[in-house]
Amino acid sequence: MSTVSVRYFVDDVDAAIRFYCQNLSFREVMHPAPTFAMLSLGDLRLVLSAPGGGPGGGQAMPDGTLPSPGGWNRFMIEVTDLDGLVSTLRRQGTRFRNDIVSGVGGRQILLEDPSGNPVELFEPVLPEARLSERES
Amino acid sequence: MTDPLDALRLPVIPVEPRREFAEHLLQKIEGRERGGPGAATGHGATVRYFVTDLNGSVAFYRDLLGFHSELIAAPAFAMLYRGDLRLLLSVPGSAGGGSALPDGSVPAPGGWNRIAVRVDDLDATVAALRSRGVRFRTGITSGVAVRQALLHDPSGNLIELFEPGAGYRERAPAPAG
Amino acid sequence: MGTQPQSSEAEPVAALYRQALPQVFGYLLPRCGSTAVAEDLTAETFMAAVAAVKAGGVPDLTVAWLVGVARHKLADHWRRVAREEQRLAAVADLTAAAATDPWPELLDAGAAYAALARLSAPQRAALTLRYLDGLPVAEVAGYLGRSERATETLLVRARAALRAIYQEEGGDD
Repeated sequence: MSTVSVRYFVDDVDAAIRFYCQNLSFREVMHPAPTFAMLSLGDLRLVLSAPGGGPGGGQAMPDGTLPSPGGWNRFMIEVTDLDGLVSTLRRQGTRFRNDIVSGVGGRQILLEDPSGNPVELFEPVLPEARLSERES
Repeated sequence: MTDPLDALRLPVIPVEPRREFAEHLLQKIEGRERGGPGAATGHGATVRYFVTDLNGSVAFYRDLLGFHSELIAAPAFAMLYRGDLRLLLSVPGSAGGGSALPDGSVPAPGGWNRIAVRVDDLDATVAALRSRGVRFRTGITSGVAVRQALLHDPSGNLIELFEPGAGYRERAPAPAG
Repeated sequence: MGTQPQSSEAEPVAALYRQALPQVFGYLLPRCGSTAVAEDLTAETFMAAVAAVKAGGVPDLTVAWLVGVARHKLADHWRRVAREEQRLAAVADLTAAAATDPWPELLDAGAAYAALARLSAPQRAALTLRYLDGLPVAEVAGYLGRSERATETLLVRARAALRAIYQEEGGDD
């Protein structure tokens, strides 16, 4: 069992499962209730909670406040074909908070899952990178 | 009398280390840099939190939550790790991960999404952290086969501590195909 | 585009290595108290830089940035040593280690550095950050995890200790 997981709040757990599994290659680890699921990608354990979904992480705070999706803190995943993945996601209507940014070590972009949670996609520059194909 | 402090005020002078050391280190660097995806990281899960005081935040995660510091590049960025998780701390407004977006918005700490850290004895951990002044958002609550508590880091980000109960089972994910 | 830009883009730390290594090592060596420690911290600095670049966390990889990383590695090292010292009260051990590991490049300031090596880790840390690195007291306090007032007190004691040992070492000429 891994020692750390990431919890994201989502409006619709099933839609979130589909988004992460179909687009970002996550695998479903458990889905014991409609308002809770756990996915995995490598060492990353992603817990999806619908706010107010009964006892546990999604429940209301002592003062009644309900958790909600969004914010800026996020997990990051490494991808091997950022351009291809971004095209595919854009065709499906996925929202991005920025355009691809190039930096030392690689390129990255910030997408939003269907509930508006950010996910950082990072594509490292590889020694065998086909630089000429990327120049445009 | 010569003040020894004057002798200490020397500029940084480059010093070549011994050749064996230099060559061996370069090989290690090239090996990691050439290793391809994930090879340099060693940590599969990476999360970025935005913080407002880098040194204070590093001390919080390191001294109170048992994180190890891998790299500190004050004032903008730090890399910590705890078990499977690598935690990047970024200061909003700094270049790289903290910079403003095309629409002018700037990242900020906070929100409800969070890391959840497993601990062996939640009661003892919560008591110890409270005694060291850590602010908790909730006391210990019970979920399905887990107990958990929510606390704030100095910037207002949430961290979940959880202790699995007897009924906690994780189905092994299907092997990568 | 040839292979040169490709490899430095994919291996930015290796590309900077030749220029950066003597700067990082030269920064660490006089502040460390031993060649072995300076080498360990140098290696940790560069390997951490590789990981940070791979994580997309380095907007501008420069020698100055690497020295900044090295400085924090040094502060972490002092923190560990200070904890050890508290446990073992082994100032004598540190003295012995420093005496067996001379820094030939720095014999001109030898007496001062020898005296520095004989201070406790917190005192050595405070003086180094304040006088070798020229950091303001507030910043030194940040690195040491102490209040500014506690840092001022530490600096007063450290200066006095350094001068006392320096005279003992015969640095008074």
